[in-house]
Parts: sequence; structure tokens; C-alpha cells
Amino acid sequence: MRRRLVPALQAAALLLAGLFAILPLYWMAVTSFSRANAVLTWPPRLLPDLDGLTLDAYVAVLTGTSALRWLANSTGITVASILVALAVSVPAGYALSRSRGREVQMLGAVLLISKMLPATVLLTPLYVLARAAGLLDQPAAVVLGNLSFAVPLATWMMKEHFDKVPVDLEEAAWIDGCSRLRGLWSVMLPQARSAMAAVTAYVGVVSWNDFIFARTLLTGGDSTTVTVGAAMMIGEYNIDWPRVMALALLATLPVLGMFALLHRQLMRGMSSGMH
Amino acid sequence: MASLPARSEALPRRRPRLGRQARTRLLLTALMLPAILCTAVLVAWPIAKLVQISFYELRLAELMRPITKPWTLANYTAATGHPGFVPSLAATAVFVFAGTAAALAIGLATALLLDLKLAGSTLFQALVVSPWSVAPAIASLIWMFLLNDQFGLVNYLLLAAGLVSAPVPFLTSPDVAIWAVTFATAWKAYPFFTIMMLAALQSIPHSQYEAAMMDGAGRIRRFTAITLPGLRGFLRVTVFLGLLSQFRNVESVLVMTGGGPARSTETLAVRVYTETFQYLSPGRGAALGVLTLVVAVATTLAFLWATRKRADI
Repeated sequence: MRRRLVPALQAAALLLAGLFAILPLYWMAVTSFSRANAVLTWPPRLLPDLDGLTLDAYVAVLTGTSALRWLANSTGITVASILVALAVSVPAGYALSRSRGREVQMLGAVLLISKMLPATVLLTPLYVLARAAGLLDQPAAVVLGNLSFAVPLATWMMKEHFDKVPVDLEEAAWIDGCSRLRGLWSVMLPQARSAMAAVTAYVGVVSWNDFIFARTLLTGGDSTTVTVGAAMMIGEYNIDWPRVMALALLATLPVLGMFALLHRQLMRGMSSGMH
Repeated sequence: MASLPARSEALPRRRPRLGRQARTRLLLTALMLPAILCTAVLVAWPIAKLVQISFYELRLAELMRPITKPWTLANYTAATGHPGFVPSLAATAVFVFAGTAAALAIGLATALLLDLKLAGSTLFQALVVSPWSVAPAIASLIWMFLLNDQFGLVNYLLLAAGLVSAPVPFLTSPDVAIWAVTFATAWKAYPFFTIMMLAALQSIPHSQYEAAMMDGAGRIRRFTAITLPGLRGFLRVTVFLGLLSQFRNVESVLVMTGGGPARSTETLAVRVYTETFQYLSPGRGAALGVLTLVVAVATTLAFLWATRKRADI
């Protein structure tokens, strides 16, 4: 009796956990394919009326709002953040891993500080900086905001990776007549592919998900990102939930795709303490 | 003149070695330079600027001009003396501690379930971790809809289960809103705990369980004697990171309630934002920002001090 009960309970609990995770996402998807009035009926239909499903909300969001611009802005900001973070963190991570002394402790401290800072704390100074540099309402301002958190962690991730690469490997290249820089480029960089993928995944997700920098450093309207754009649709009198959920789904798909693609790297990044 | 002979004596002896070392050092420093520049401009300078702003009574527009006013502590007294300050500390405590506790409970439970490796575990792992890939702002939108008091799914399920007799105004009642927001945030936060705990569980050698089973230890005994001690180090770090991330989180609140109703969901970090950009008082916002920073630094130092002998952070 007990022998059958325990596995059954475990399976039920696992099913429940899966439901808890997926139900909000399911509801977002179902709502986005519904008509506006169907959403407001009581009781809500857990299993949607298949004939009532429609792409109306998607058409309305993509043609009636600046959603395409927002998605493009988010993409541009994300790609730029990834590229700059990689360009900065790979050499720095290598240098830190090969130098001993205070630099490493300093990085640890900076990393810790940047990890505990709420973005709102940096917001006013970054706003001042962006305005002084004429970057207000420019995507570059949001990139800078993203980098304030991305650079320390990305540098740390690269350092931890290079720590594991034996110096012998490089020394062999130097003996072959490579300069140190050349060795870094042609020996170390190919070695670091997986760590760079982890940095890409981490910075990509953080930048795509950003809300607070885009909300403050961009003025809204056409220049803003998809997360802010979706939230702006709430401000209206009559919230058209299917449209909001359609845009929410469009904003989530790229991350889900990245998640499927870079599953392993993200897990690794997570266990080194990212969020 | 007197120092010259000493230098010319030292130079030739050291030069060959020092030359190469110095070049390597120079190269390494050059490679670090962009990162140093980034952190100086994007982390260090903003913190310094924040501290400076906190000591002056300025309007947003005045931030761009050189400061001519005398420095003052008025922002700190105004921010901490505000009748909303103590309630916001309470909201912060609920949001940070209850949020982390909920995320930890769900995360640990799901990790234990996934570690059983039942049929379909890989699929379930992907499912269970999927909330992680939703942006905080987007997760807030989804939960706003779920928690709606007129047609929300949560209220429907609660009514159907007979747990409540009337729809709960989750996001419009000042007493309930902070809990609703906290729980919604835990949905987004728990996968981090699942993954960390799963990694911890899988690092416990299987032989320990086998040995315990040979000794006749039951399920519960094995959990308390092997699993929990094996998790302890991971647990400590994960909870700490979870608390920090919850403390930093502003998006969830800003999107769902904007700090309302009646400023009841304004955590410290949110208040920094609303004071600055909604009530247009950057000085008071900065003062709260400095306080936020002090709390975060103090907590972190306390944590590091408490775990100073351990190598796992």
C-alpha cells in the first residue's frame, strides 16, 4: 500500500509544480488568442473555445501600436549590450586571471557592490550622465545602464573560466613565437567559447528584460523597449488584455528561445550567482 | 646628486628581469582598462554622485547645473521623518523575507521532486524552470491579469475551491497588495532556487544514501541526516543571493502597482524611484538611496563575516 502511495504522491506533486509554473504562461497565451470581450466573461474558461481563437490581438498590436519599433529597439539594445560586455570582459577577465594581487580582490568587491545595488540607486546619477552626454532618449543610454551591472559579473565569469585554463597552453604558444596578445587571440579565445556563450546568455537576458533603465532614460513613445511598451498599454482606461498579453508573449518568446538554445550555459551562469 | 649613484647601481642589475615583468604588467593593465573605465563611470561615479545629491535640496532640473546651494541634512530628516517611511520599511521586510521564503520553499520542493528522476523529469525540469525566462515587468503584467478582482483566474480558482466567499481585491486593497505582489514575484524568483538546490542535491554522493539505507535509516532520517547537511553551504549562499535580488527588485512593484494603493507597496528601492521621478525630489530619493546602500552593504558584510571561514562564496 505505502509502496504505491508514495510514488503516486510524488508524481502528483511534480504535476502540481509543473502546473504552477506553466499556468500563468498558459493563461497569457490563451488570452492573447482570445477576443477582448471573451476575456471579461465570468467564469473564465480554463479550456478555450477553439472556434473563438483569433489572431486579432496580434494584428492589432503589430499594426496599431509601435510594437515592431519596440521589439527592434529591444533587439538593438540587447545586441549592443552583449557586444560591449564581451569586448570589455574577455580581456579584463583574462588579465585578472593572470595577475595576482589586489586587482582580483577589488573586482570581487566591485562585483559584490554591483550585485546588491538596486537599479534605482544608480538611476538618478545615470540620468544626469545621460543628459550631460546628450544620450537621453538614445538607446545608448540604456546600454550604459545595462553595462553597469553586466560588466562586473561578465568579467568575473570570464576570469573564473580563464582560471581553469592552464598557463602551459599559452606558454607553448609563446615558445612558438606568438606574442602574448596573439596568444590570447588565437589560443585562449577559442578555448573560452563556452564562457563567452554564458556571458552572451546572461547579458542578453538581463538587457532584454530591462525595464527600469528604458523607462527612465528613454522618453517613451517610439524610442522605448518592448517591456516598457507593454507596460504602457496598461495606463489606458480600458485595458485590452488580449493585446497586452499578445505583446507580453512576443516579448517572452526570444528569451524562451535563448533559454532552449543556451540551456546549459544559463544553468551554469545561474549557479555562479546570476539572476 | 647624492641619489644618482644608488640608482645607477640598482638599474643594470634589475633591468632585464623587471623589463619583461613590467611589460607583462603593462599589457595586463591595458587589457583591464576598459573594464576599469566602465566600473569607474557606471558604478563608482554614480555612487559618489548619489551621495553628493543626497546632501542638497535640488529639483530635477537643477541636477544639471553646478550646485551653488549650501549642503544640508534636510533630505535625510525629510525622508526618514516622512509618515510613509516606517510603513515602507515594513513593506520592504515583507517583500524581501516573505518573498525569499516563498521562493525558497517552492524551489526546494521542486528540486527535491526533480531529483527523484521520475518519468518525464527532463520535460518537467524545463517546465518548472520556465518562469525564469519571463522578464520581471512582463511577469508583473501576467500577474496583474491573473490577480484581477473582476475576472482574474486566481479569484476564480479560490472561489471555486471555496477558500474565499467574495473576490479578493488583491492589487487594490492596501492591506493585501504587498502580499499579492510578493507572491507574484516569488513565482518569477523560485526557479533560481530550484536550479541551485538541484545542483546541490546532485553534489551529494549517492554512496552516503546507500550506507544510510544499509544502516536501516528511513526516508525522513536520510533527509535530515544527509540531505539537509549536504545542502547547507549551497543554501546559505543561495538564500543570501535571493535576499539581495529581492531587495534590488523594483520592476515587479512598479509595473504591478506603481507603489500603490496609497503607497502601500513602496519598498525602499521603489521609494528611491518614486521620490525622485514621481514626487520630483531627487535629494530625498538620493538620501533613501544612500540608506538602501548602507543596508545592503551592512547585510553583505555581516554575511561575509559570518561565513568568513568558508570558501564557498
